[in-house]
Amino acid sequence: MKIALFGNPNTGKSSIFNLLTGLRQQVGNFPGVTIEKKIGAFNSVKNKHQLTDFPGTYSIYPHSKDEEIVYNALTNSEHEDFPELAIVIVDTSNLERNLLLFSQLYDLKIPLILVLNMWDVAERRGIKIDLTKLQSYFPTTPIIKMNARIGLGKDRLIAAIDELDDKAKKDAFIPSSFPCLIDDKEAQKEEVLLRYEKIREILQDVQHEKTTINNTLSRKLDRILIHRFWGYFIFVGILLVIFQFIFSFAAIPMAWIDDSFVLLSSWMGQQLPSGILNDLFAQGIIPGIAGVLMFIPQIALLFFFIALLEESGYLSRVVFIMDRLMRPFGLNGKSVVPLMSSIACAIPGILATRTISDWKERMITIIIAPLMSCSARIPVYTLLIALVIPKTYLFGFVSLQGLVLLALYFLGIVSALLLAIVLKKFIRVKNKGFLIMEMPEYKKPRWGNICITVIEKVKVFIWDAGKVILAISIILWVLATYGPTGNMEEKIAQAKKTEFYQHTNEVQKQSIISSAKLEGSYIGIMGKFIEPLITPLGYDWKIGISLIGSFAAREVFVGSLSTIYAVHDENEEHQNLLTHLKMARKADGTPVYSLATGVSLMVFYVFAMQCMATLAVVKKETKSWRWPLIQLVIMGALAYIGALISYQLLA
Amino acid sequence: MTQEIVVVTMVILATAYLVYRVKKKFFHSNKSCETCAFSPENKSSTAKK
Repeated sequence: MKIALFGNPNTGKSSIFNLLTGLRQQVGNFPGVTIEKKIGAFNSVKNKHQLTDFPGTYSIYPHSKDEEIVYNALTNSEHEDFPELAIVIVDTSNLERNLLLFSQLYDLKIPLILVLNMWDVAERRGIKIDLTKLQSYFPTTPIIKMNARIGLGKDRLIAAIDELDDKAKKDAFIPSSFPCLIDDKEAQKEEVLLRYEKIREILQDVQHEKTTINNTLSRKLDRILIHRFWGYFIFVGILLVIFQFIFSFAAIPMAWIDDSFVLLSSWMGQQLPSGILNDLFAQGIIPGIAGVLMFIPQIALLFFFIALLEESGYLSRVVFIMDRLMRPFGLNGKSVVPLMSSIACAIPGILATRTISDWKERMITIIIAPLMSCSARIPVYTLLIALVIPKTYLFGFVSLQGLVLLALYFLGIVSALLLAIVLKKFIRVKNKGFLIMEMPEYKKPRWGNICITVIEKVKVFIWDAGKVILAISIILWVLATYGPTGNMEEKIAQAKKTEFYQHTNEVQKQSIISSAKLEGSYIGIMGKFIEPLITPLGYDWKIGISLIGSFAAREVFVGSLSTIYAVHDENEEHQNLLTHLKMARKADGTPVYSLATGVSLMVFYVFAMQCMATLAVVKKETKSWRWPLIQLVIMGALAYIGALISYQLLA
Repeated sequence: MTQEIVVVTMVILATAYLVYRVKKKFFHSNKSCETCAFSPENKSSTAKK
């Protein structure tokens, strides 16, 4: 049987979908997590079923692209997604708003099951529903109470599917011609008002509410957490704590992983017979992969805190206060969720813009979303901060390194808001959308869920970034090891003639020869070619090559640097990346990674669109090359100018 | 000689993988995505009663 799940946003549809199908579709605590239909399958006692999870909608009349999917599937019985049975999921703690969609589906005469989800939340809020009375209003529709978070009511739902009498006759909920035309907004308004009147009548009869301690506690907490001033102050405080943890706690396992790879590289070098395969592993693949894996602790911690904030219900408050902050910048209320999602990754953020009905608003949100610092920037930021920012504490407990990380995140947010103002001048928007969202009650986090989220995210980070970095490391190693015939020898001969080489010690001599060899390689030639363009930013050609490599993905920057320095130091003791970078010197003996160069690189990565996957998603979503190219140029220009100013001011 | 063959194979595979990824990301049409057909010209159609 073809079964479909419908309901308002954030009522637990995806949780029920996962519960029935055993799949792990992403669930969230704010609207807009499901932006396209998802299909799965499950078996009941009697039958096999196909289950479709549709995006959340308040009414069948669409206001955005994602809501159109629902309208199209329900209003045309020939549509491939027209369901044989619709399960309507409602939030029991807010029946008045949720029953509107149910009443519309009821009048479409599709066989229905009504699921009163979040029954526990309603009880905690002191809401009591008389199920028998409610059933009497809809005698042919099975009504099931559920708590999808813990799987309660699953068996009852499956039994109801098997026992459903799809031939049962229904009376109309309201006497009107239904559905209205999609463009007839006046008729739609009248119909909705009529439905709400009837829903209120029913609820007066079946619903009783009293104030509870839990309810009061949530309200009391909200008085502070979404306060016009203290709300932002607390949010900044929480971010600061997260970044402090990232620096204080992740540094130890990070050093273990890094050192383990140094040992592995050294061990591999001894085990494999000497030759180019040995070199490829020791100088190319292992350092490249180490460059990704060493950041697992930071990424895991970041996602742990994001999941913790979401599970507790706080993230919805952040969306609320950010909405208030973004309005003066002319941003659509519905832009908030995509922008907040982009802090984890820009791709789901850009997909979430489908909830924005106005295409101009949507385009502005798509363009600014990648400016929000995503998790892929964490490896770059933390490496550079550890390199150039001293490990000192302000007031004895606030880590300067954590503070700089916080500042980089804010630079991303502020520049996104400013760019939105500029874009508004060029892309004029007539209609402004509003964000409608339910504030979930504060809840104890489910640690199991948090662990699953962290493991899944880390897996994606390692697998997705790892494959690209592995491929790039192999190619980089070849380009750094070989060069045009005689070129490397010529560079070595030139280096040996210098006065510095004649009068220096053996270790320095080895280093000079390695540098000369690398300069004579294909990668050295490419690097030297682009050097004039990046010298004003404070970068040498090795950084330049890593910047080019990271056009695929930002985290490739670290892997590329790791491979280049491993090839450079082929004759020296194996060292970890941070030590390599700290010891790197310019021709005049000054450090390559000075404060000015480090800050310039950080600023570059705040602005630069170094993510192929994001560009591909923008191209897919806008169905044209124009917008991703505009985005690439804008962000590239911002990155170059920002890095140039930072370096010139600090150098 | 064996080492050289392994390295060359790995380089070819790495290059092929990167090309495949770029091609898949930018030129693969995702048919399961209904809302991707987004453009200012693509407005909602009027429903049939």
